[in-house]
Amino acid sequence: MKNSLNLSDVTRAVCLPALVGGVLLLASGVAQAETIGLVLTTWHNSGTFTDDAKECAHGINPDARENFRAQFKTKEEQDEAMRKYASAGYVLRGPNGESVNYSPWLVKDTLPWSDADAKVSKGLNLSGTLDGHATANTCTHKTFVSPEGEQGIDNQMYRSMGCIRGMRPGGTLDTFYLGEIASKTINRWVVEITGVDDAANDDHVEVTLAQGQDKLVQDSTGKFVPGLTQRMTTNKDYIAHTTGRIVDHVLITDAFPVVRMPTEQLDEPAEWEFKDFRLKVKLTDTGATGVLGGYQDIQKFYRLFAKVVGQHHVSMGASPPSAYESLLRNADGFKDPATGQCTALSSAYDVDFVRAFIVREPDEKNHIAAAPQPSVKGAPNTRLALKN
Amino acid sequence: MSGFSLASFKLQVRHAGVGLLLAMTATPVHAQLAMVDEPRPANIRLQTTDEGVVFADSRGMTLYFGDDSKPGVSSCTSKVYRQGVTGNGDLYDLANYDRVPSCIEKWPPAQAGDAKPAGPWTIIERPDGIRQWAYRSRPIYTSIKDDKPGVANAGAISGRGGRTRGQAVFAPVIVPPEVRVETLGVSRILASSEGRTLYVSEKDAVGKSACDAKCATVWQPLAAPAAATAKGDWSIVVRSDRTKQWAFKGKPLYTYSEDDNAGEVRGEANPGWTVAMAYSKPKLPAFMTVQATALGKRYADANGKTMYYFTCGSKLNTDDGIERSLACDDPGDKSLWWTTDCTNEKNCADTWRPVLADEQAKPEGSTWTIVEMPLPWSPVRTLNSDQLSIRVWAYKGRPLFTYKFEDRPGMIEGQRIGIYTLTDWLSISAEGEIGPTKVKAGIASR
Amino acid sequence: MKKPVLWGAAFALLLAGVAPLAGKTVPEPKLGDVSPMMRLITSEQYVNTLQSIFGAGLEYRVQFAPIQRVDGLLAVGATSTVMTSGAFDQFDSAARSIAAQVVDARRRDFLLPCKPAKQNAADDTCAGAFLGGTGRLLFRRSLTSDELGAYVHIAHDSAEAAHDFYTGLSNALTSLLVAPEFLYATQPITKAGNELKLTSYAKATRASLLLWNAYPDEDLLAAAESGALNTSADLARQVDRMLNSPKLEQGVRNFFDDMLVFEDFDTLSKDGTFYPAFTTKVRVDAKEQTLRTIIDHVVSQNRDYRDLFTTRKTFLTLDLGSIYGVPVRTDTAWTPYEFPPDSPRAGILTHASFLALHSHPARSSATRRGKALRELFLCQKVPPPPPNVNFGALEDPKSPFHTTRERVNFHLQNPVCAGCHRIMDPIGLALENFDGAGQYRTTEQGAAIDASGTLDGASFKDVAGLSKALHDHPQLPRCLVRRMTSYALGRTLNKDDDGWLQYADGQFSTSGYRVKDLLRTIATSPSFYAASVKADQ
Repeated sequence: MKNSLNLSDVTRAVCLPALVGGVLLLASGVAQAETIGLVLTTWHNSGTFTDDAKECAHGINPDARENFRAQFKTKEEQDEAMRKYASAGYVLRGPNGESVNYSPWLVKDTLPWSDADAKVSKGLNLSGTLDGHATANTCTHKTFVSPEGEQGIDNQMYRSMGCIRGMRPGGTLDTFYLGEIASKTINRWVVEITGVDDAANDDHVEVTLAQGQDKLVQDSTGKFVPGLTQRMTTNKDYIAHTTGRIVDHVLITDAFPVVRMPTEQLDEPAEWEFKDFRLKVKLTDTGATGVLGGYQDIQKFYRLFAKVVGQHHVSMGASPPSAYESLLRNADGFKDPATGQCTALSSAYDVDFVRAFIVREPDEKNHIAAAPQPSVKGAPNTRLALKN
Repeated sequence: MSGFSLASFKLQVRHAGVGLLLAMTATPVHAQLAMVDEPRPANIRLQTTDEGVVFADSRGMTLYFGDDSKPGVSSCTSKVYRQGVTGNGDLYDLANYDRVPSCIEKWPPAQAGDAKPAGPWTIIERPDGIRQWAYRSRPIYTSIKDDKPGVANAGAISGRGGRTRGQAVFAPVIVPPEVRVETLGVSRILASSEGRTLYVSEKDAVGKSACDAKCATVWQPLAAPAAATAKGDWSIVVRSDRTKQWAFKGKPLYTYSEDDNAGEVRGEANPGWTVAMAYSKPKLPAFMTVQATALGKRYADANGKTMYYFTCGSKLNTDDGIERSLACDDPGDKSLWWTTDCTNEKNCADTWRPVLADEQAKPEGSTWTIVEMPLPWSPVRTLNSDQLSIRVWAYKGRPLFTYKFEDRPGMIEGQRIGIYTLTDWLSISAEGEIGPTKVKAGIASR
Repeated sequence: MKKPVLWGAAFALLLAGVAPLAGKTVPEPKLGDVSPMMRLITSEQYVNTLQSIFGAGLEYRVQFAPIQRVDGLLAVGATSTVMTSGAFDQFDSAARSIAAQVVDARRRDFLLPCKPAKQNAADDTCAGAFLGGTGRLLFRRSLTSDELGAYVHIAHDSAEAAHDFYTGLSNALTSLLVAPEFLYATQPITKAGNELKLTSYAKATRASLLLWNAYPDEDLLAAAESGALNTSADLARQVDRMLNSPKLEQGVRNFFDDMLVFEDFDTLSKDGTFYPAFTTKVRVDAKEQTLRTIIDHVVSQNRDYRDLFTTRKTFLTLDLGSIYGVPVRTDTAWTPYEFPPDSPRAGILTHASFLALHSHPARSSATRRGKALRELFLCQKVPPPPPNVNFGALEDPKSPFHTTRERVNFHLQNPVCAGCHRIMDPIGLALENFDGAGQYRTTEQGAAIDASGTLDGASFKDVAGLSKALHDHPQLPRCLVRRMTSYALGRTLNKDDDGWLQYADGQFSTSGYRVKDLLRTIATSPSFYAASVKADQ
């Protein structure tokens, strides 16, 4: 509360950047580093998803109910299991009635499960290899080709999640999460790109990824309105920084060693956590489109999965034992030095952003080691090409 | 944080048979707001609690509304249900149903006995023969979570989908039409009729406002209209511009221009201004901290770890013959509900770590209490006299735990772990932690 | 910013006495027609008045039939409104709802001055105390003993019938709230010697409707009763009290809302394909932005009215930020904002409210903006278009013309159109850097925008120049004087008012074009309280 902005400071602070922006508007081609601000608007799992689920060898994966019925084959056995363990929705399948949602390792599903498999996926080359061979820190896995033809795309998360009904485009989580991004500031992601000398090509920019604090606005058709303000959080846990470059309007960041962001999905609060996170988006005058991704620790991810997906395992169509086993099987990053097992999965998400003014609130505790403070305190302007 | 073990805690383990019952008598809170004078039956009392004055039965036990939807009809019966329903609408058989308590075992109806109705208090002649009180046509109950007068442990804990459990019946208080009593976390504050927080200034002498015209553009006096009549603790201050302003116990009241919505307390940051409290805020135990989480301010332990309690999330009672009230969070309830989230008793004890109370620790009112839990701990295990036990801090009688997988201060990953709409782990909003809170150095308390 | 000459004059005036009238030697001219008028209470006046009596804790669900705009002002329409039975129903249901809330058990102790001897029976003493006190505020004068007796009678009979004092009181209060003495601000006149003038009470009502858009409060009524409003010094004192009250804001807001025809916001719609950022919230915020800016400028800061057209200071919300293309402080809903010195945004003409209100759903309109500037700010009437105008050339999508300037040039080539368009289009063309939603642009369909023009002899090359030309235009302050006078009187002005209006012009100028001073000039003018009776009355 002590950090609340002083009125005159802010009006001065927001004046000056507007001046900067004003100068840029009036005099194009002025060599002055500018800032581009982005706020996340949409999020989907990356991969190939066909209408007839060709990427799933046995079709869409059976859900928890079907696996429950396969585990307890006769009606008598099912009723007995229900009665014995007050089975609420087919999760209390453990040997002593434990919930397989929170303890998926207790039971092995018997129905056939498909890991998604396709040639093409949007995503990023996280491992540094083209063919997914094992390295010091990664495990052997098949890579994908991006729709643009880029080889070596790592997206093992797609294999584990891609044939679960709710995780596919139009599925329960996919749909709900879009709405929750729009409506809840806990899901607000902002990207601040500073030191931009040329928004088309620039071999060095600074990139800050952080939680935002303000609402998104949609127009009457549901599109997100660019050019609004987003305050950046002052919580250091949710601010990450790296460098990057822009090539033909595409921002390509270097790795963020760790990215954590709070999230709320299907009303369940949780935390995203990525290691070696990267962002690759094509910048436009009003926003950006592309992918982001990194390595997600199995256990940390599964705890999110259990709360969000496992809770709603019928509508989501997920059977936790199979899903967990699949995550273990498809892990391709961050070897455990003791066991040599990979503990994380590469992942990729299709994302869209619109432009926003990113405002940093003054906070003496908000020190980010490598981030250069903007030369003008407050909101460095973004240049909006205004259509008539 | 790795390698949790029983031995790593400095436990004050004791034999329950020797130990004192540590949930001590709640220190009565001085009732600050006068009650509306309305008729009341002889065996209905007024009782102070941490949050205000409630109606209580002749023993002083807090009275609650249920979830009854039809006026004058109670749907909380002695029926023992055989089936429950999941969030998907699937019916399932309740296991060990001989151990499932009926609704009235959890929520005993408030009995009128031979008493006569009075004013808003009427009597429901139940089919089971019990004569139950109703207040303004709503059936009234007590709760087995309350073990003595002056506590309201069952009150309005919101579970999934906004469903509430019993709501304590607060005795209506005398406030001008421009004022409401609002709940903010653990605090009960005064707010305008639109819900905007009210403040008082230390510069104001009793009956006089020191906030001049310029000040009044920021601190907006709560206007008393032309017809306003003073009553009890509510008086009218005439300002220098001859407009009238409400005052409570002589202190003029204001809203703060930067509070846009109900529940905001931005004015608190200004020295010399404090939120106008309806009742004293329960004192926070010294070791507890307030953390800014992604969901807002939450109470946390000395290390900044969010504190959680375990609760049943579903509706109190029901009209349609399907049990939705899951008896899951009282000692003696089926432990399966406690263990489903964490595999088994042993693993659960590792996953959810109790917030231990020192031997010398004393509760703060009836909000931050201390309970004894048997070892290995579980909120639903009954404590027998020959068992080892530990003293654990509790929120309204519900033991508090931290979540093993939260390895930094201010996380909320434990929030809403549970099974469908039936069980929940919930953190506690600290938005009402008004006034200076001593925070341990090094913990980010924002 | 300070102009020493004007400040000195104002200071001298303050020293000389509160009212600018003090110390002057030339007798103030008289207004023309001062026949008494009846004014139907508006929704806002109703709520403002009842809120000040019964407080903000009640719900005022009030939506009365809209008043017709006459000669540019709703205030003029309010004096010629007819009461229909449908309209009366709305007053009746509002009255019942409010009366029920006042006597409700949880509130009555705070709103009633007494308790009945027995709750289940009538109590004429207590009923009389409440009805007399409330009736006085509602009717803006003490009730006669007959009147009070009648209302106490209502309370008595229905209390006895219902065995409940409060039911009786509620019925009587409802009757008060639908009485014509409350719903209509009549202007009773009295004779003082050979002169007719308004009664003290009528004066109080006139002044408080002008300054507060509400009926008089207790202090003003007491002053009326004591005869204080009959001496110019005491009247000035009361007027100054009202000018310094927080309630001045609601009065000034209502005036500018009326003058700027802001009820058009209710039906304003923009094509989402062209202006996606112009959401419903932006529409609401745009209106509030301008009203807030005006109030801050003319009430809180008490600045020169003309500077409203050049000031870079305003207030913004997060949503408005997308229209103005600037970041906005977002931890509160509204934040003060100052555009930088070289920003094209300065003054009301560059507010989204003016720009969007006077545009088409999918494009800007130089003609509408020019017309609005003339009519709203300069009080210059622009004749309507002839009935057989062919808009085809203007609307043609295959038109070779890129910019609005090129398209409207057509008007100026055609002698039939040129006469009127010459006085509108060149002004609106200066605002073409702002599209139909108020967003800034430098080009239109690829062609650079030329924002030059003239305004009654003053040339400019951009919107800043237009704003300055408007600021300096002699008709700008005169128009405000006329609008405000018409608003205050509730009638159209005519030649007979010219003498007084010129006097008011002089006062306004001497004060440094301060709106509060203009309000004082009107509210302390003997003419404002004069009365005459027409030959046929």
